[in-house]
Amino acid sequence: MTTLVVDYASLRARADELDRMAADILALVPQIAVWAASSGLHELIGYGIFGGLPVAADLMAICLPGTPDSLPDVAADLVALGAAVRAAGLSYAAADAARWARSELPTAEALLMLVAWNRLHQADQLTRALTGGWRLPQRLLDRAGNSALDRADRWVEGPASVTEVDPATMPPLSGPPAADLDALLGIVDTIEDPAHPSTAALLHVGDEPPRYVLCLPGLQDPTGADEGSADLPGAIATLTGHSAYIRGMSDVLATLPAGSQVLLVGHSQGGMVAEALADGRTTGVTIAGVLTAGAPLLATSVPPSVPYLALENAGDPVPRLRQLADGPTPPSQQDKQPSGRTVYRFRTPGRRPTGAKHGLGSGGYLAVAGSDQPEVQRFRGLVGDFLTGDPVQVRYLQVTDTDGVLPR
Amino acid sequence: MDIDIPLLVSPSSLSRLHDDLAAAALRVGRIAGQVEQVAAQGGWRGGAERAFATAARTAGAQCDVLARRLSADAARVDQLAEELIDELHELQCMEDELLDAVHELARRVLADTTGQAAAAYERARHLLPAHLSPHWRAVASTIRGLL
Repeated sequence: MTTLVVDYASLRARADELDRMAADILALVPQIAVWAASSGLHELIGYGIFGGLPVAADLMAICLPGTPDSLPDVAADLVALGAAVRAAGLSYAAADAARWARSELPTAEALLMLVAWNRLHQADQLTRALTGGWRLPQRLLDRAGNSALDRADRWVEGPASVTEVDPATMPPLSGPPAADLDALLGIVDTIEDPAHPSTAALLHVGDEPPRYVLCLPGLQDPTGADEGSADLPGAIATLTGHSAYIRGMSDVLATLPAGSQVLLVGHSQGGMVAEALADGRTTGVTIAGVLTAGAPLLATSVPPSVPYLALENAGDPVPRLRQLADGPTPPSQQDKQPSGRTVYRFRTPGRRPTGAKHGLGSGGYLAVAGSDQPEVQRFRGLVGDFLTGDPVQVRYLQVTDTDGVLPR
Repeated sequence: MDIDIPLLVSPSSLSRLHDDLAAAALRVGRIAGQVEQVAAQGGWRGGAERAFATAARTAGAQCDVLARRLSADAARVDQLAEELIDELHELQCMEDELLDAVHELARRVLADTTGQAAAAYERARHLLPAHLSPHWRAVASTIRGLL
């Protein structure tokens, strides 16, 4: 990852300081000239005292520009120094901007991949239509596309790394963590903590079979400046179904005991990761349910056997990102596809879409998840084995990537 | 020393100038220190740090030279004030002596019938400079010669 180093602000402050000093020195010039004239130094000659003249001459020389070591000349030097400092700051900022743009090239390439993926998907639809029940071309296309995207993401984001985080350092959870759907979303809300970027929570909620809830936070770093995977390059890569975040969480699921069942709960980018994990990957565990809030729906299809509730605030701009990404299938049509997904769309006060409507609390997601709406109630019933008022063991896992560079 | 003389220069005006110049020297000296601090600040890349530090230290040194010059001028002004006080003291004595001489001439005018004393007194009276004027020295020998 390239660290953006712009010390322009400190250089500008330094230039301001030099300007102030120059102004202070320049302000002395008329004062000294007036003092020298009004003190009558020249009149001392009348008293036979000649020492006043050299002093008056020296004071005038100090005030006259162009004489050696005069106040105006020093002030001009300080102003010139200030200007040089400003120029250096600007050139640093320009160099940093160029470096930043170069470091973001992988992001641009990821965007291109996203477009390619959607084109691939459309080609896939066309192939389906042309070949009828013959599934080989589709499988070949899927395999080729996924392989290319996965390889590209490893270039873009580098290897994923998952590290255990000491629970004592995490923000405390309020109440029984797995008591209900809103409590689980509440965990996601809590772990979306700037001090712990890209940290997921894994709850062990029961045994026989082992049951877990994986809570996945959303985008926390919109620049890619920290090392977490829940950043902008990661979000774009996640849209293609291949990102360090997905790979890291996939690795975590692979470490769970054989036969484990997992409920995935994600907000925003975390929801996209949840959907990607539920999309028939080989992790050795059974995905028993997916709950997403404010997540753009991916161009993947969760198996119909997996209960899937997608909560969307109609004023939340994030789920609409699929339209920006030339989303392959509108959710209303996806509802009719053989998928377990139920999109529950709701409204909160205010007609305009706002960023606040993307928040789990401010966007009304927590309230809806705790409500008795029929869609929510139905999903609650399907994942009831994962809800318990008892204390549960919580592990925190931070996913980081190196925002690797493309091989050139 | 508060002496009323009909000129701009006076011990008090020189004392004020001394104080002003000393304050200005302090101000410029402080700025010299600040420029030194700025010169020592990092945050540069490549060779710019050394180049800036060199240029800033040169400017700081110039400020320091100016501060010293102002300080030296202040000290010289202080010395000039002392010299002026001494000179004014001497002039005061001379003025007293010459005024006594003019009073003596005035007394002679009353006793003199030739008119010479009156003419000398009139001449001396017109020669008298202002209080503590530097011209007292110039007219001293003339007034003494009229006695």
